[in-house]
Amino acid sequence: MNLIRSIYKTKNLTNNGIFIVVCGLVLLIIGCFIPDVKSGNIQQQIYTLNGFNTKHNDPTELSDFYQSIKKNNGFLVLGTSETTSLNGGNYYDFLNNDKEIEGNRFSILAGAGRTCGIHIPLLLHHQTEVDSLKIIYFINPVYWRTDLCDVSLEYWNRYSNYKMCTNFNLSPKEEEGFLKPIIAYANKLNWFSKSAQYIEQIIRSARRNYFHKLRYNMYPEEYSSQFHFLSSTKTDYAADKNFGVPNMESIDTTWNILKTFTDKNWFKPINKASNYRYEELASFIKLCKSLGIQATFIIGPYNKRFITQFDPNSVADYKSTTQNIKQLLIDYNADFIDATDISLIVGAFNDHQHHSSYGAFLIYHKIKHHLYEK
Amino acid sequence: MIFNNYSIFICFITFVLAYNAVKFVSKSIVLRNIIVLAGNLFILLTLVKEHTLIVIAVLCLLVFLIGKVLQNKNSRVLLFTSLTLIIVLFSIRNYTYIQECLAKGIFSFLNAPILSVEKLGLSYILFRLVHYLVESYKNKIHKSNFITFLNYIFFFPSIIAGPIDTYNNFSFWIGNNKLKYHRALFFAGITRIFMGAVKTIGVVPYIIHYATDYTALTANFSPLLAIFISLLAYSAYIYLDFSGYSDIAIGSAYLIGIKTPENFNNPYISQNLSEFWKRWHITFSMFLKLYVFKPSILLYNKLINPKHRLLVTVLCYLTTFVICGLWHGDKINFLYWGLWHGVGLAVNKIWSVKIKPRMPFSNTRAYLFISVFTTFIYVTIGWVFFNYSEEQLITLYNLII
Repeated sequence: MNLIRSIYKTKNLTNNGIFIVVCGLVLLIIGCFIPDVKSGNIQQQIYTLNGFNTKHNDPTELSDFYQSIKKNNGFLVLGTSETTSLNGGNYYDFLNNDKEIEGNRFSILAGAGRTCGIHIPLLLHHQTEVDSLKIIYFINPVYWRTDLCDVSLEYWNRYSNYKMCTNFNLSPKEEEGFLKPIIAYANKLNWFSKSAQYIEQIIRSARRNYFHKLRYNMYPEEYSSQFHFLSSTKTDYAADKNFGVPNMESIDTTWNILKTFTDKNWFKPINKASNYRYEELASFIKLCKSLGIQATFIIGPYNKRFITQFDPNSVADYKSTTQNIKQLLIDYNADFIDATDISLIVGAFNDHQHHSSYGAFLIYHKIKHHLYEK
Repeated sequence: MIFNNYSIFICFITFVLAYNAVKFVSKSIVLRNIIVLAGNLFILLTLVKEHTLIVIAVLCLLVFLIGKVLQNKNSRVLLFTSLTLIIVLFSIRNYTYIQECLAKGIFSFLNAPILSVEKLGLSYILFRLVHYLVESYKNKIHKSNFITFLNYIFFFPSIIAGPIDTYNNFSFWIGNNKLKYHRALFFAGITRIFMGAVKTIGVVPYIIHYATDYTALTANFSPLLAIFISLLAYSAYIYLDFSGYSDIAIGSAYLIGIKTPENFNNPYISQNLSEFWKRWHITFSMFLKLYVFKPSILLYNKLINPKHRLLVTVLCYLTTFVICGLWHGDKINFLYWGLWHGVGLAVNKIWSVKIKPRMPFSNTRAYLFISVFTTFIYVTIGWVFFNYSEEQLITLYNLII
């Protein structure tokens, strides 16, 4: 008890405080001299990266991720919520497990709101690694609707950070061409958020010296264990009796959604006045071309039956939006797959904005045909 | 205080640096108070909306003015009216049962504006307001000004979970000009924050799972043993988490030269429940003693024949700890927890007055050891009411029986 009492004496607390401050400073300084882990030793294709690695632009992990895809002649699939995991499998699952497709495998970076503009800073910071990388980007037309048509701080802050969006060393022409989405994001941030994000990165980099650099230098075998690799064996999706057929029992055929989906009011019409999503897509296409990235775009379907029921006046807007997207891709001479003909197929959707596993199956066929059978 | 995001952390660092720089160059208490107020509001605005702070600030102004009147004129009616009003307001905000009752009656219009105030340490704010009013009535507030009072209420390190400072102590430290001592406190604060972080980040995450859910242990132990081990883990968890949080709050206050009172003093080595409450959440216990227990004695002494002092004390313990339980939350399990401690204290009082003096070995080491062990086990079992809801308690009861 006397020991505990003595610890809490102000004099001892003060002396310990000075010791902690000195130790902290020494650790901070020493940490700067710890060498980074060398990248390039990963041979197997990495399936996906931890969101923290991409949010904070961890150089070794991202470099190894991109290089592992290139080494294996794979594809990087980018997309929003529709490209995340799906009961029964999503289109990239079917591609990855298709026994007819040899050699190419599909890695994923997807998440709600993770539109192409959010990838621009990462690609700009890894220009060498992404050169000749093959990308598939899924364009979901719902991002043109009223509540999603503009730059979203929530999504940008979730997947990116302000510090990563600076120091690109580009010419004014390149800035004009590639950085519009980033500028839109930066303009929405106040000085406080910007400084908070800067300090967050500084603190993270100080921690990284010990929790990443020192750790993986001491135990190099632990480095690769943080990754999720593509499995070398293939799952036989075709053996499943539900593979490639809509689950009609669970579908409300009038609305073309799952019977369990009740939040119909989440639907919003298209905002025709906003140009942000077109500009974002154009910047991304230009950047891909400039960096030598071989990008294929998928114009995703929209749930036409649902929209016809909920707000018939909006159908024309969704149609014209997908046509505008298509025209933009044609104007920039981009490679694309038009999947909008799935919009009316019964069973292709789980809700008003996400395709179902059956929809994913139809998309998978379109991609397979486009990449391998054309 | 919770550094749950970088915004709060940056506000805090900026505030500490600005405050210390100003304190170094200026002795102006007004300037210091303004910086502390700006820091408090800025940090709290990262947690709640302006509306909440404005409503609480207006309430503070009213309480401050009433306090001024009470300092000059000892009006018992004014004291009771104002206390009743603020307790009613806070009760409506904190207790869903009262809200539901109000919604059905003619006072339903009160619900919406009161509920619009976000919950930000409201229970602790209530304590501070009650303390200020009662001490003003007793004429024990030495010097008071509104900015210091606002800082006392909004003081961000301790607003969410204490420690509950006294106004005089807070006012003394904010006006303290001894730079040398301030420097010593600054480094002491760093140690306290470090100690708190070790407890809350270094240890708590490893035991919280077993502490809050006994089913995590049922694979290896019988249900009864699993519940008991889980409760032991809960004892460790709640102490480390809460005292770690207090360490961070106290350390943060030290960084700006305010010596906030201690909240814990090795509670698990207490020889009896009465001692436990002098060592556990000390500032809260002091509050209960001063503003609930002592007034209850006066009240019961009027109602019951003064010859029955032991009965009065027992009733006071029960009253105090029923209120203590209700203060912790509007679920019935908190009432059970309060009653558990109230009954324990009553039994302890009867034991120490009637039985212990007649025991021949009450001064031996063995007795001391048994006392500490028994108290610890009693407190540990009591946490079951704190941790589990009524439905879960019924499941546990069925499982044990």
